Amino acid sequence: MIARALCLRVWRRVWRRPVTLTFSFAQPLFWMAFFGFLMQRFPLGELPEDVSYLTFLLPGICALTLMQGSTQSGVGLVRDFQRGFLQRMLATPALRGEIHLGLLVAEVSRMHLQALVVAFLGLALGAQLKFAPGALPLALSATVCFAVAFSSLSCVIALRARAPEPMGTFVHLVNMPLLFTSTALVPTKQMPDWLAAISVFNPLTLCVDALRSALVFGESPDPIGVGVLVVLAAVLSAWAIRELSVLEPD
Amino acid sequence: MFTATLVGHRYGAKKVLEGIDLAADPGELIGLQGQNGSGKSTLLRILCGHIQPTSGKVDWGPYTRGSLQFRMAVTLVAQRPELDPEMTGRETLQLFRALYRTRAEPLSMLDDEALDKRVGRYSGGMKRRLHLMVGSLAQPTLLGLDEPAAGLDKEGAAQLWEWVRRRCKQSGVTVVVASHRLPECDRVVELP
Repeated sequence: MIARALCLRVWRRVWRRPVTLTFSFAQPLFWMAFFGFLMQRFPLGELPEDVSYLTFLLPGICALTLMQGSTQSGVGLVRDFQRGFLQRMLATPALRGEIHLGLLVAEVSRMHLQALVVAFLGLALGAQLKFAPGALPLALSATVCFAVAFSSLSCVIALRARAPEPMGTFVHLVNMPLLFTSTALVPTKQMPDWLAAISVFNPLTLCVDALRSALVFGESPDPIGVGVLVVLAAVLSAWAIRELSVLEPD
Repeated sequence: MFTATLVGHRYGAKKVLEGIDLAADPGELIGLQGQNGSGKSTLLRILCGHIQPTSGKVDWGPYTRGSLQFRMAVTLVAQRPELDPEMTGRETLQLFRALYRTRAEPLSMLDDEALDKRVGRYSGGMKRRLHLMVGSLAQPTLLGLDEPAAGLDKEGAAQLWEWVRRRCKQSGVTVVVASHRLPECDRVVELP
């Protein structure tokens, strides 16, 4: 009930400000249109012959959309904190977990809708997906856990920083290194050894690989990678709820 | 409902409260009066558990400050209307009805037309009315009101005080009001 009411609040805000949602498609589209067609000219080694670079890139850009959306999830919390609205919500009998759940459901569903639109844009540009319907639930678990983990981390930063400027720094600090040390743009075999070693532990790699397995290679994702994302989501959610619990209503 | 013993508070080096003893019974209406800066709001926030006093203590009987039961039993309607300008009045009430886990009807201070407008388009008085309507959704045993009539016209203030008296006498709610314009109270505490 509480989570539903909070989720509706976020969705209404998105509905009333469609400009923000529309602009969020611009960057993924640029990545695919410019980077995708540029890199198409270079051999990427390990890819099967029927997989174009654009097809390879599409799951990476979908995951990138999730990452960009989730790292900005805390911005709304900062705004609520500065208005005193968050403190007012915290002074009610609502459980902190319910408040966090409401935010997560709203943000994660919004980001997945964005990623779906990005996938259709990719298909319109010429990407060809090879679905493995049976593998889709596991891939979806990976994307949901990834979004939950980074939304929760963003909430932790928001509740500690309580100002919009550090949130901007956090978004850039997380997004760029994670993107370039992951398999979102290139396969591991094209990376130097040290970068390939880092990419294995990158949560974005785990998310992209799960999505790529199910959508491009028609295979089931690696359950260990998905398991790591489940644990990461659980730990970071618990941390966010703890930060909400220690916040004084005044 | 609460017993405050030798409560004092400082903001850094500045002392705002010292040695306050105050106890309240169920259904009592207590007014806090004093000049600007005398510590009325600070005392109210301490009594409602929003801040901890720097000296002395407050005992709320079976409730522990910050617990779920405490948040159900104690509500503070702060001086500043803490609202989301992007929501309509009706959406704000729906959200807080869920947060307070209640189906109660709020104090009726805005008409349907006003409730369908976004809060960002409200005048100061309308915001104040919605703020009080949100506060009226809570079903506490201790209600703190900080300058609740500020920005209200005569009619609105009369409606508010009538509602406060009803909550005290009919529902047994203890109400503490910090204001320059107090209604008829059971007891008035003058802060130096």
